[in-house]
Amino acid sequence: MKSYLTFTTDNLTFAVATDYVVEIITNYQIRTVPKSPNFISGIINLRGQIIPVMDMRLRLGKDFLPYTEATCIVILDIDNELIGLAVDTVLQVQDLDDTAVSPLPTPKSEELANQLLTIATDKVALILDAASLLEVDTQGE
Amino acid sequence: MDNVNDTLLEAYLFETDSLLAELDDLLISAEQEGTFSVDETNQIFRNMHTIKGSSAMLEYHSLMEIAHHIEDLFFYIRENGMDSLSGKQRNQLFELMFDSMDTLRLEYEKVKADLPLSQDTDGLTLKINTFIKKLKGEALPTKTEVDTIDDKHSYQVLINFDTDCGMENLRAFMLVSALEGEGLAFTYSPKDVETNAASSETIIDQGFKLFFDSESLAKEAIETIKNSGSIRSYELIQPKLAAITEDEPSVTAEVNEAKPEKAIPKANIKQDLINVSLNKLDKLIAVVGEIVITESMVVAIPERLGLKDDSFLKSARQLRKLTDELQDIAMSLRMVPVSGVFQRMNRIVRDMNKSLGKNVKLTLIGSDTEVDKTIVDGISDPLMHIVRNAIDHGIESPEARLQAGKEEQPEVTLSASHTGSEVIITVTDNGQGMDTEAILKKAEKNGLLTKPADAYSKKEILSLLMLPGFSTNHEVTEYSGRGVGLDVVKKNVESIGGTVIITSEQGQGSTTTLKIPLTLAIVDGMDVSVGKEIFTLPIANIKQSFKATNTDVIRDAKGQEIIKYLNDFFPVVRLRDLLQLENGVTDMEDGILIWVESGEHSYCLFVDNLIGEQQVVVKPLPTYLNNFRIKDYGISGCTILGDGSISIILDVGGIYSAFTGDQNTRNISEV
Repeated sequence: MKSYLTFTTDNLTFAVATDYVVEIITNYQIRTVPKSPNFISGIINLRGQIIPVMDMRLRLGKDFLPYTEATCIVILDIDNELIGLAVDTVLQVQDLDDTAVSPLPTPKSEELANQLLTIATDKVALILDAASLLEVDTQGE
Repeated sequence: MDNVNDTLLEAYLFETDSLLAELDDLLISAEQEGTFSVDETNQIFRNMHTIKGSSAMLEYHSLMEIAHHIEDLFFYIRENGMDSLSGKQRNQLFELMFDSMDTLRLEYEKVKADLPLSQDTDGLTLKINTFIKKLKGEALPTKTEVDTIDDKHSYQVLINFDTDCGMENLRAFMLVSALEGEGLAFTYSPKDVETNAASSETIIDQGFKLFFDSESLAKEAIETIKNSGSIRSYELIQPKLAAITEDEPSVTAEVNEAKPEKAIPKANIKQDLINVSLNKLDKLIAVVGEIVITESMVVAIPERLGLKDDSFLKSARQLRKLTDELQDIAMSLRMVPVSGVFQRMNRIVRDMNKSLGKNVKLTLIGSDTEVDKTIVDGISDPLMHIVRNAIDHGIESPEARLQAGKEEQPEVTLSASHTGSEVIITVTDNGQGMDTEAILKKAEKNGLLTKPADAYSKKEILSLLMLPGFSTNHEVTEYSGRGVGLDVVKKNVESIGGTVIITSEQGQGSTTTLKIPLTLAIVDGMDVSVGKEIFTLPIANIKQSFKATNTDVIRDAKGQEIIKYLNDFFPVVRLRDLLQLENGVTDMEDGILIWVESGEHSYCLFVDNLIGEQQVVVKPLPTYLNNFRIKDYGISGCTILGDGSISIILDVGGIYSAFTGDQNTRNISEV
C-alpha cells in the first residue's frame, strides 16, 4: 500500500504520491512573472520562500479557469525543488494498493500521467509523474 | 559517500589554496631579499609536505609529484643552508620555484574545475631533480635517499591489510597521514607508498612496517591503527625481535622531526578562526533577511489598526535596533579583505618586470578593505587584466621614459576604499596615458564609431576602449593585446553589478576605476508600479525621475520614442510594452519617466508611478524559472515587500539589452 493525494483538474482525477507533497494552500496571492510561459501562474511567497506556481490546466493544454476559493495550490517537493501546482479541487489522501497500477492503454496520450489506479469501486485516477512536471519542453517554447 | 567526498574535496581545495597563496607571498618577499630565511625554508617545506599528503590521499598525482620534489629540494636547502648556493644558483632556484608554483596553481585550478589533471609532470620534476643534483654536485638520484629505512626506531609495528582490499599503498599512506596527524614521530617501510603503486605488493607480501622510538609511542599509534579500516592484523614487535634494517638513518629521521613542528603553529591559528561553508552563511543571511522583513510587517500592524501604545513602540524600536545589528553582523560574515587579490598582483608585476624589463613598482593601498566574498572572486580576473594592461601598454619602455624626461620610477598603484554602499578600486599608472587620437582612429578603422569622429568627447573616446574587439597595441604581446581585454573586464565587473571608468592624461598616466556595490544581498531599491504590479529598481542605477508631456517625445525613423532631457537625448523604454504586461498607463502624461544608467547605457524607463524607496533583500528567482530565460528581460530577482507581497527586481542593464535586442528582431522581421 502506498499513500496518494487525489485531486481533480478539468474533470480528470489525478493521484500523486504523498512523498512529493509538502502541503496544500489556498487563497494565495500569486505574483505574475513577466515573460514566463503561460502555464506558470507566477510566484508566491510561502513564509519567505519564493516558489513558482504552475497551473495544472494550462500545463495540460486545457482552458484557463479563473482561480476561486476552491482552487488549491499543492506544494510539491520534486528533487529538492519546490513547486506549487494549482488544481481545481483537492479530494483526499488515501492508501492505495500500488501493485494494482496499470499502464494507460492509449500510449503517449498523456506525458504527465501514464498510469492508472483504481481509487474506489467505480473510479480511477491518473498517477501524476511528478518529475516530468519540471521537464522543460524546449520545442514547445 | 559522495557527500563525504565533497566535503573532503572542499576542505582540500580550501587548504591547498591558502597554502599556495602563502607560498606566493613568501616567494615574492624572499626574492626581494635574494634568499630564503630559515623560517621561510621551513614553511615551504611544511606547506609542500601538507600539499603532498593531501593530494596523495585524494589521488591527485601531478600535484603530489611536484610537491614531493619541491619538498626534496627544500630538504636539501634546509640541511645545507642558503649560503651553500651561489648567486646564480639562487636565481635559478627562484625561477624554478616560480615555475613550480605556476604548475601547482594550474593543476589546482584543474582540480577545482573538475578537469583531468596532467598525467605528465616529468618535465618539471626532472628540472627540480637536476637542480638538486647540481647543488649536491653529484649524480645520485634523490629518491634513494628518501627510500632508506631508519633502524634507530626499533619498536616495530607490523600491519597486514585485509586480503584483496586493494590500493594497499594508499591505505598505508592514509594511515601514515593519520598517525602524523596525531603528532607521532615514526618512520615506515616501504618508504614510497605514496608514489609507487607497486609498493602494494611489498605490503601484501611482508606487511607494512612502522618504526617508533619508544614503546609508548608505538602503543599510542596502535590506538589509531585499531580504529582504521581494512586492517586485518597488527603486531607490536619488541626491539630484540625487530628486524635489523640497513643504511644511513639520518635522512628520514630528520624528515620526521618536521612533523610535530607543523602541528603547533596550525593549532594556534585555528583557535580563533573556523571555516564555514558559504552555503551555510547564505542560509543565515537569508533568514536574517526574513527577520528584517517580518519585523517591519509586525511593527506596522498596530498602526494599521489605529492602535497606539507607548510600550509597544518602545519595544518595537528596540527590536529594530537589534535586527539592524543582527543584519550588519550577518553581512559582515561574508566580508573578506581584498588583500588576497591584491597580493596576487605582486606576482604579475614581478613576472612582467622580468620579461619586459620595465622595473615597475607596485604600490598597494587599502588592501584591508573588506568586500563581499562573491565580489572578491569576481574582481580577481578583471584586476589582473587591468594591471597587465597598465604595465604592458601604459608604462613606457625605459628609453621612452628617459626621452620624455620622466625620472620617477614607473609605478602602478592599486587602491581600494569604501564609500557608503560601494567599494572603489582603482588602478593608476604613471605611464604614457591614452592617446585619444589613436583610439579614435583605431575605432574608426574597426568600424566601432556610431557618430562622426569629431563628435566624441574624451570620456566617450575612452569608453570605446571597452568595446568588444578593441586593442590599442599594434602587436600582440604575451600579456595583453589579443583583442579580448577590456570588454571582458567590463562584462565581468558588470556581472557583479559594478561599473568601469577609465580616465587618462596623456603623458601622465591613466586610471581605471571599478565601482562595485559592497554586497549583492541587500540593495537600496525604488519601488515602481506598472498596472497593479510592483517592480524594484536599484537606486544606484537611478539618476532622476521626471514627468514629461506628449510634446516632449520625439520619434526616430523607426518610430522609437526619444526624449530630450537636460540637453541630452535618451531612448524611452516602456516597461509595460517590453515585458508585455496586461495593465499600465499608455499616455506619457499619466506616467513618470525614470532616467536610469547602467554602464554607459543611459535611457528613460516609463512606468506608472513611483511608490517609494526601501532597502530590499534580494532573493534569487526559483531555479526552475531560469529555464525560461526571463533573466534576458532584466528580471534579475525578487524581493518580499513589507506586506508580504512579492516585487520583481529589475536589472537596468538587462532591460536595455532586452530593449535593443527586441528592436533588432523587430527590424529584421520588418525587412
